Amino acid sequence: MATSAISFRAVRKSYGDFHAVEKLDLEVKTGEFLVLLGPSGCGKSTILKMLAGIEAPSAGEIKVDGRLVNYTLPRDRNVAMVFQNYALYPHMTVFENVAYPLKSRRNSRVSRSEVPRLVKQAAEIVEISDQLGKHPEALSGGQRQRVALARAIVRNPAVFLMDEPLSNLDAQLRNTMRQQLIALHRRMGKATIYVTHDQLEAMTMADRIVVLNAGTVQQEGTPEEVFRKPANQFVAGFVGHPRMNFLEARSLGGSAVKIGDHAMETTASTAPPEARLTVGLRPSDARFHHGGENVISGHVLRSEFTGPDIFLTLDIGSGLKIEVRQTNDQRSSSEEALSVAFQPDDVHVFDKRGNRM
Amino acid sequence: MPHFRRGASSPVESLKSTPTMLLVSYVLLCFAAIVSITPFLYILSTSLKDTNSLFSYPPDWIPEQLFWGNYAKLFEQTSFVRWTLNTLGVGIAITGLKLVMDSMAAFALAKLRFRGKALLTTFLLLLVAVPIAALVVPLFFVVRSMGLLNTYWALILPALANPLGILMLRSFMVSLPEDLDHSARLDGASEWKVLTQIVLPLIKPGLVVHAIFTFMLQYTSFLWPLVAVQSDHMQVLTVGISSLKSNFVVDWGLISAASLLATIPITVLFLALQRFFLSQNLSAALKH
Repeated sequence: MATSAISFRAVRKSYGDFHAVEKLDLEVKTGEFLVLLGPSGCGKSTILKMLAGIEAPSAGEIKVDGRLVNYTLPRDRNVAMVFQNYALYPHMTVFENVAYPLKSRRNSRVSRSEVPRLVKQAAEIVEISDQLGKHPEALSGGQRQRVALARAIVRNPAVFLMDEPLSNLDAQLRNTMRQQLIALHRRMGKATIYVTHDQLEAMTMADRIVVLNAGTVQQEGTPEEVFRKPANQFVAGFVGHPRMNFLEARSLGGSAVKIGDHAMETTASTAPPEARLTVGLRPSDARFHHGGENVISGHVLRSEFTGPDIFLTLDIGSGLKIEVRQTNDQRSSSEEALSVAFQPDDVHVFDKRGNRM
Repeated sequence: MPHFRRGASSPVESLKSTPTMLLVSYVLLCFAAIVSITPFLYILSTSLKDTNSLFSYPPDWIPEQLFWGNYAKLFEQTSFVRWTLNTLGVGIAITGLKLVMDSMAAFALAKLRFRGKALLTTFLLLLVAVPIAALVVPLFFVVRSMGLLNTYWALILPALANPLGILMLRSFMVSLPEDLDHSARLDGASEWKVLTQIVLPLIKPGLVVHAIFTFMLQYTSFLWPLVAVQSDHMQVLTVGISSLKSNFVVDWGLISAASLLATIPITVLFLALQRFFLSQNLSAALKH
């Protein structure tokens, strides 16, 4: 059995009374692209820093390639990191920046004469070969990002850590860089931990997502699992755009719930009857012109046209509102009163504490 | 980071462009220039007079006949050259040693983590407030018990203990983004390399300011050298020049000549380095 490239065992990090990370257990396999997703302050960067050796864990074990690294200096952990602000050395040229990990190492396995070849090779992979003589300040944001990547891949580490590497780029560039990062990851075949608060990045890039909030893991799974079967209300609200509707509801026993005056069939077991629940409905799961089962009707309060989609806010009575997405071809003539249907599969039910039922 | 714009809309530009403000600022500058240059010119004038014309009233700003005797006497009958070399030697030694020691201490305070760091920093800050006059007597006993009185070490060692430079370099280092040194550590750098290859090159302006400040402080220090060193050939310029008036007759011409010459090295140094650190600061400020 192959050992995990990265393993966290019961790792905690506290600053005084504040618990930044609580009892984290996590394994990352070689070749896996793991995304830590969560709002700012959820502890995701702290996890990276503990793995890099910038922060020391308060308790627990961290292993890289099966080797305990808790007491190992950052430089001996065989870990490369790409920082949010790139952390390029401003007084060095791009070439010197990329060469730095090769030159600064004691007992380096790389001989001096090999440095230029390796730097050029790394520069070619991230397409900055023509920038090697420049200083970082002469580069654009995207180019700086590439230099930071080249500096990370040049010494061929066991693990890549990326701390919101795309958050300083404009939307267009972010799209291209996302694809290129994944291509780069496949090419290197190493374990990568990628930290972000952007759920779109997480969904599009991850092999596996770990959703964090307030220092604890909320859910761990593939992007599809996290999206289809959110483990609790936090995950349901954080993943997916536009945000899921949360509506107060009552159990009707069995697997049915009542939202205001609308009875809905679900796939969850909602016993006992009369229990107070929260139902989550994604705007994108709404089906129009369906009739029959699981229908919510209401009248349109507001409609926003975004191009391919129209977002409608419906008043469904009992003081409840819900936002639904309508594609252009679903557009109906009568905009005043509308009925939308949700498949039982798409009705997410959460108990009082917000856990999925 | 504040964003500096070099356009007509910047406050400095608009201040200059109003004719009234321009006039006012020139008047103020002229006044300041006169106040600072007058004593200097008077010393120059005095150094070029012989004893007789020295006390004529009203004083002549420009002597009728230039008298070079004071300068000749200074070089022939006093240890002026030796004093200058002592001052430069001690100043360079202190500046060099302080740059090395202070940058290491500042690095520890700015970039390393250890227990009691905040307390230590506060303690250093408090030490800055202690005036040199309060330290002279205890320092004298310490240096005497070490058997270092009347040596160059007596001049050099106590100056190294000034914590101001540590705090100044620390504030320069704290302003560097943390990720830079984290990144260097991950890239394989030891703490020593983080300091010498990453941090120091990036705070060059701070190092130059520190060097100028330390050197000038040493160049003008008087009280401690007066106490620490007795023999004439070990003196620094400040003490040496004041020893010229220890006779019954104060030879103002001689003292003026010495004072005037003593300002030359420090002026040259300042002009040379000032241009460097001003341009450095400017480029750093405009970078972002």
